[in-house]
Amino acid sequence: MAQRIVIAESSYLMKRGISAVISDIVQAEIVFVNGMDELNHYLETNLVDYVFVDEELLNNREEREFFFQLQEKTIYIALSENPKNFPGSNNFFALIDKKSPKENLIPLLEETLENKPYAKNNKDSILSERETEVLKQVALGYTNQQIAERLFISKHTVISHRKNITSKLGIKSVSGLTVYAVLNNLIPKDQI
Amino acid sequence: MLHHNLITPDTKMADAIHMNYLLLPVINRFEIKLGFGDKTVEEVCTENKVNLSFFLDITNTYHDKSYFPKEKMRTYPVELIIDYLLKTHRYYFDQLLPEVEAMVEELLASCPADCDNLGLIKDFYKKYKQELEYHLKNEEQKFFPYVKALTQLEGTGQSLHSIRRQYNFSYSTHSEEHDNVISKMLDLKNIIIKYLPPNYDTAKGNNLLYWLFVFEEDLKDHERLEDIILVPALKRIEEKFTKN
Ligand SMILES: [Fe+2]
Ligand SMILES: [Fe+2]
Repeated sequence: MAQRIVIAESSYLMKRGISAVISDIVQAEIVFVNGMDELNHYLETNLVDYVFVDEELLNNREEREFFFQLQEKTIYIALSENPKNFPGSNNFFALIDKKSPKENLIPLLEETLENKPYAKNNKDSILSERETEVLKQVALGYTNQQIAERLFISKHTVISHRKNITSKLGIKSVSGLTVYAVLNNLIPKDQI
Repeated sequence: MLHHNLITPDTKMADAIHMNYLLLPVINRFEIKLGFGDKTVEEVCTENKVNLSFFLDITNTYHDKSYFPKEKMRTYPVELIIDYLLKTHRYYFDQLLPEVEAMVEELLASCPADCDNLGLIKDFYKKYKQELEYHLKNEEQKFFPYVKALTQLEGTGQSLHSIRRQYNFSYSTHSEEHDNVISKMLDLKNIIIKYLPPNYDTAKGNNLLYWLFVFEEDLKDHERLEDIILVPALKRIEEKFTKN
């Protein structure tokens, strides 16, 4: 199974280069995004194994904060011009020096790309019981706050379930989730 | 890989279409039609009085998603960009939206029995269509005229404030609408790919899905131009007038 890889990098040469090197090492489906908004958006609706992100995009704090609410299993790799000065974050699996020579780069990439979190765990894409419960409530039209009260869980937990539901099903909107719920007999049609 | 090839002034227009046939509706937005013979991109553009550099950037960014010279693209006159975006709106209004709707209707009509579930997909699309049309109209009434008015503001004696009030354009609403129209398109595709009920006509289902892919690619490119080229251009003009 091909690995799903996103490259968020603004230099044309750099993204061409990195994608060529990746394609030499593994079978991969590579998607390019411009900027953090596009990256964020893509990650909300797609399961991704690896994200390569240019440090330039992480310049401001806000954008770095974004990395604290990421998909659980996705592996993030920072691309840096000057790794010594990289602000550093535990959220990154690896830091790649853009200037590193081939003999360092290839083994590092090979090692990094071994993990393939989603390719390995296919059955994780099935909703858990709790997620199914939350999904039903969403489809019935309840807000996050109402769902929290009805299921005796915190609003934060509801939001985290919803993120997982969206990344597992590939459906984000309430109306889309409702269609899914009815198609799969989770709620009767006359209740929507 | 062919994908690495960008279109240049010397590329034959016919070869550009061979490289990527999805460029056809894109070049139509420059009033360029099929039947180019062996003319190059530059020759066709000159003949049709099309800005060559703008044409190349629009077709190349569409063709190769990793190519996006945003700083350069922000230097084009906003009228030029808006004209292209408006033509794209027309393509959605007149062609894609009604044609895809007809495909959805046909899919439902081909269903022999127990069609409630397919009906849900039709309802989803109809609602989506309304939302997208609302977004496009909103841009035509608020966003584009506001940008244009600001570029012509100098020397009119009017204030930024009064123009802003007149058009009532909101960055945050605009970006929420983009999120909504893009994610619902993805939702619709995924519902069809992963969860379409089995009682459908294969050819009609595939046809619908094919056009949703085409639609999605075009729409993403369109919203990207608005978000990454036009919105920052607008912010720049606003800043200029707040400083003065
Ligand atoms: Fe638009
Ligand atoms: Fe738009």
